[in-house]
Amino acid sequence: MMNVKKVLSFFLLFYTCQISAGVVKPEAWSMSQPTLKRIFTVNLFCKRPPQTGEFLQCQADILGLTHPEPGKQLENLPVIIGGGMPAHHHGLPTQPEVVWSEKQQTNRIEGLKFSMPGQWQLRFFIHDKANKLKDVATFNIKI
Amino acid sequence: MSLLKSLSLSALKEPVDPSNQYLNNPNAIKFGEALFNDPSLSSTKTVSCASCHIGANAFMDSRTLALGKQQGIRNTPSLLNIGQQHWFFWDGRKDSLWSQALAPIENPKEHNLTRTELVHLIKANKRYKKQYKEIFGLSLENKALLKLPQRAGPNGNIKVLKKWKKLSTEQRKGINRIFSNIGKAIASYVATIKSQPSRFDQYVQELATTGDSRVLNDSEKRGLKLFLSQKSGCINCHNTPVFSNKEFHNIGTGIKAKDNGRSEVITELIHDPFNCLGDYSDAMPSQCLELKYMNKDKHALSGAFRTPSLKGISKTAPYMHDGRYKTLQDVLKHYSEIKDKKSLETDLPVINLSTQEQRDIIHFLLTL
Repeated sequence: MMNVKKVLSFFLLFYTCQISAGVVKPEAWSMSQPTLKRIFTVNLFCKRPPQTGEFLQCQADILGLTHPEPGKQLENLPVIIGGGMPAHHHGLPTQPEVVWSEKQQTNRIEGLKFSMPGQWQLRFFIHDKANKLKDVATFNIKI
Repeated sequence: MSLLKSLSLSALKEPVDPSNQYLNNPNAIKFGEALFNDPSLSSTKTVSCASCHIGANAFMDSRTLALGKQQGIRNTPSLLNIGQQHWFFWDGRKDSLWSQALAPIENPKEHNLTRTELVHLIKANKRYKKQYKEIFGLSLENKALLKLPQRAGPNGNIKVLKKWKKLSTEQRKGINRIFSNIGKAIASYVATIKSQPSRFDQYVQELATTGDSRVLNDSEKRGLKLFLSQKSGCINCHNTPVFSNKEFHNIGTGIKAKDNGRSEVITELIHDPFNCLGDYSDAMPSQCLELKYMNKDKHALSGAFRTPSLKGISKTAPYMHDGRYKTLQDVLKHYSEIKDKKSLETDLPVINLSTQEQRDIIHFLLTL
């Protein structure tokens, strides 16, 4: 019991230090989703939880799930982003783009915005570099 | 409470427009106000911006369709808090307030001026000429701008267009610079037009400070609750302190082959020389995110119009882009009649509201 307490205290202290050092931002938001055919996994990160009315600062890391190998980060794949609000029969208010950043080693999502509260879907259409495999990851996001 | 506060005028931010460096310039605001109210800025000397945007009437005109030199095809939108928007006109065919201000000046149905006429008018008015030079640091006596034809511009009749084409590139650029600066001055003034705190704002303030308020009566409070609920869904689009999400939605009011809203202006907007990315914009390209990432899918935007603000709605009848509804009862009836098949054709879910519920929502809307 004592050991558990010690471990928990350590993690609490570590997390607090990380926050104060700016490493872990408490308001940051993330979500992971495997693609439909389970070829890739998409890890979606945003600086703040998604909300309406502003351009979001998000990035998406694409990792192999069954191809080429589990957990391997895949660079500079052709990715198209889309989505919408199924209950309201409309798409995204903007046409965002997924851009590979060599410097940040991640896919930056530019121009993403939500226009109303409710249930949104965000889809990532991903091709492998050889353009032989394609798959889609769908995120259900409640704003 | 945080949702209520987000709808209150106290949450309103100051207008921002990186494409207009004169937005907060007091001299530009003063110059813009004079231009806004000046009927000499029209071919008949009878039409000013204030002819349709009447200050005592929430800066609109109560007409079904706007009336300048001739009748237009759209209802005059209120200018209250207009500086908060990203897109202008019902279809958002302009991406800044200054670029918007230019369009009526040379619209044959509105002011019906040409660009060179406007330059002549400003040059001929000693006060305007002085104000222009003070604000923009540019003289109107530029060599390229001497001996300009009286009526020339790209948007008039064929005679006017031919004269515009005969001008040199340098002359056209010089005229466009003056034209855009006039728009920026008008926009600087228009961006100062704001709502006064309403009964709703007072209600939110009292709730926030004392935890209770009797400013709204029972029907208005029921209406507010319904407005915020997914039973009506009003809050989905009518949010923020201006009660507009500033985006485009198809609510079933577009008319194919007549007025299909946003889908008809995408190409025009991309090629507009006065857009955020154009030569006359003061913004860095990285500041033009709305334009850069705007939805260009004409099919998806078919029949979509910009969500109008609901502030001052008691004074802004008739409603919708073509002023088709004279009363708020008509508007609520429109939403309540969106059933399954119609819902699929629009951005709206099926909305079921009883007559009493509609009445309560209207009572709430009148507190805005």
